[in-house]
Amino acid sequence: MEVIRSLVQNLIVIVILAMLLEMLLPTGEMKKYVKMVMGLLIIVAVVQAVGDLARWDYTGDLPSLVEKESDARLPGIIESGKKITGEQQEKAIEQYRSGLAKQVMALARMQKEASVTGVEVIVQSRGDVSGFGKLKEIIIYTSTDPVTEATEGKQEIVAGGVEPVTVQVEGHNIAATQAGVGTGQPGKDVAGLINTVANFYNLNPEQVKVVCR
Amino acid sequence: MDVLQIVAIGLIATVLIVVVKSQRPEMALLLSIAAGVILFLLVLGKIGAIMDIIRDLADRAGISMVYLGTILKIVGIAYIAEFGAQICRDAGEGAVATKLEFAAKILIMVLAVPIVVAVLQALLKLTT
Repeated sequence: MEVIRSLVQNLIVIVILAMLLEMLLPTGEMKKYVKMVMGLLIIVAVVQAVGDLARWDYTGDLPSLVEKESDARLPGIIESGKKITGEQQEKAIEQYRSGLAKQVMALARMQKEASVTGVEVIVQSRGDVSGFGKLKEIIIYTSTDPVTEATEGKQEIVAGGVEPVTVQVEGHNIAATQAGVGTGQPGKDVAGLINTVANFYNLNPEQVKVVCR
Repeated sequence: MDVLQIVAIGLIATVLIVVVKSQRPEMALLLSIAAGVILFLLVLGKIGAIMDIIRDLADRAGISMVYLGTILKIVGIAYIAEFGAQICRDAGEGAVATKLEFAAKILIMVLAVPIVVAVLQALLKLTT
């Protein structure tokens, strides 16, 4: 009942609209052309109203002769949108990477025995691959020399040097990457550092590397 | 009273055109165009109000704005072409007026194509 009421209401509004539009029509040669198009519009509106009632898909693909200009611009708009998305993703991933590096650095420096000089974080930065932004690898750079750090104006010794190592953690053999100085013997400090960072970020210990320089 | 203003402008323009026409027919034509533009500008604000009502009604009836926009464009084309053709006829150029009307008819038919196709598609879906 409610549907029929709505249909009748719609038809009345359509007829009133048609009357209003007819009053707007120019007199003369043009009138019959405009009237014909208006008649078609009313047929469409009535079919639409009845189609709504019957839940019948009355609409086809409407040829968009009038929207041609905006259609032509669409690929360009989509292209520039993709470009902006890519740039923003790149910026976001860079910020995320630098924030993570700072976190790892702070975490690593809590291990007083290891003198951490830098951290590199590798994340999944390709947007089209699944797991975008996922942490892939953490490389911690340590120094063999004691690191000094300026804290509130005074020089403070943070940690001693750490030998380049190959570490056995939870049954995995972790080879320390060689860089500059070379690989040394495994050490408990480095093993602890790898374990802490790996556990903190829920990574496999293989994904955390310590490079001694 | 807007209507008095409009009628006054129309009458003044008519008198001026009648007086000028015998001496300078080209000035009479320009006067006619000027009077038409002034009269159109006077009612332009009110046309906006009518358009708002029509849009509101179409919205309530659930008519797509694509169709309504097409209809309004067609009405606009018809009016502009009619005015132009009348000015041409006043100037004694009936042939130009006919061609102007022909161009307007083509434009109207081009704009009406999406609506015609929509009706045809609806009918074809109804029969299948």
